[in-house]
Amino acid sequence: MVDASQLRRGVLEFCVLALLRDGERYAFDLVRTLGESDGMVTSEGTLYPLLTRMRKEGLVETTWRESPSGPPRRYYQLTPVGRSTLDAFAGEWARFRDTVDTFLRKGQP
Amino acid sequence: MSPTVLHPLAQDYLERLDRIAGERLPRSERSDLVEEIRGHLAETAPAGTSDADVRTALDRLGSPEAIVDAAAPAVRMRRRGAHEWFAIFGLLLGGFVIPVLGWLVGVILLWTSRAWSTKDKLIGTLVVPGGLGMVWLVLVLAATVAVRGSGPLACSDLPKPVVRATVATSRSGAAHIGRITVTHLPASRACVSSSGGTSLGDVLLPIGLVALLLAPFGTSVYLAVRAQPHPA
Repeated sequence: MVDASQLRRGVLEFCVLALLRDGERYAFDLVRTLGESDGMVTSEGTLYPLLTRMRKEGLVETTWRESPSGPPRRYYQLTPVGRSTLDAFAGEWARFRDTVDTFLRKGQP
Repeated sequence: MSPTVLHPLAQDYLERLDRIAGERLPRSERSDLVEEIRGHLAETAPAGTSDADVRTALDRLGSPEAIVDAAAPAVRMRRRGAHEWFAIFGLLLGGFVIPVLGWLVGVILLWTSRAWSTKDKLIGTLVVPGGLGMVWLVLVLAATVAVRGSGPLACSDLPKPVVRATVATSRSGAAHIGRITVTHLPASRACVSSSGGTSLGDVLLPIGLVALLLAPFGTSVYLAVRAQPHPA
């Protein structure tokens, strides 16, 4: 079993940014989507501290909205900084992925 | 809007999370995290959900410890702030600034800091009580005693009279004092010399005093090194 937890942790916040690209999402919805993606998250609860950290770093912002049932819900959306961070990462990730693939195929650059 | 009533298992879980978060996170982070998880449980484990479904939901959520672990690095941590430095300063030199009280302030700061373990705090308090101020007092007292001890008044120049009595027993069994003699020993022998001796005490005392002088500095360095990261 390969322990890819470090790698996962490193890219998780960019996945959150990507999920918010098309509009705001309810925290639970965000966490469930990531939790149901294969191999992304082992413990859904640990995503909440990540969301808190991203809010403090100014990558996302939140709004409370009434819900039809139950308590008010916290919705997350991208800030301009979050959006530019996502765009920068998308370009960086493509290069990174290609380089790793090259190594994996040839064992040589 | 009333908060959703949670399944008892979920409520227990949330209370455990709240307790663990309370030990490791600042108050605002703690309530923030607990509210987020409460929202999650309101979706996955409201009252009326089957026990099996609640267990699955809690399983997916992960242990409260793991969640708090994930939150802890997000908190700004520090090892030594103003609080810790004032504690070290107070313990070492506080007794000089305001006798006794200055050191006590250091002790209070030491015990109210989250940077040190109980063992560290005991060492900080007991090595040496009063800090350098107390060491200074002990050294002054020791010096005073040493000066008096080597002075000419330490032993009498007068010859010491020695009284000897012999007890004789008569044939009837009654005891009576037979003879009393009073002799005078020479002055030099009546006086215990305190100079020129190489007794153990003469060697150990200075070593002990130097150790006593260095100990509070050692404690200061120890406390500075042992300070652990804690929320700022």
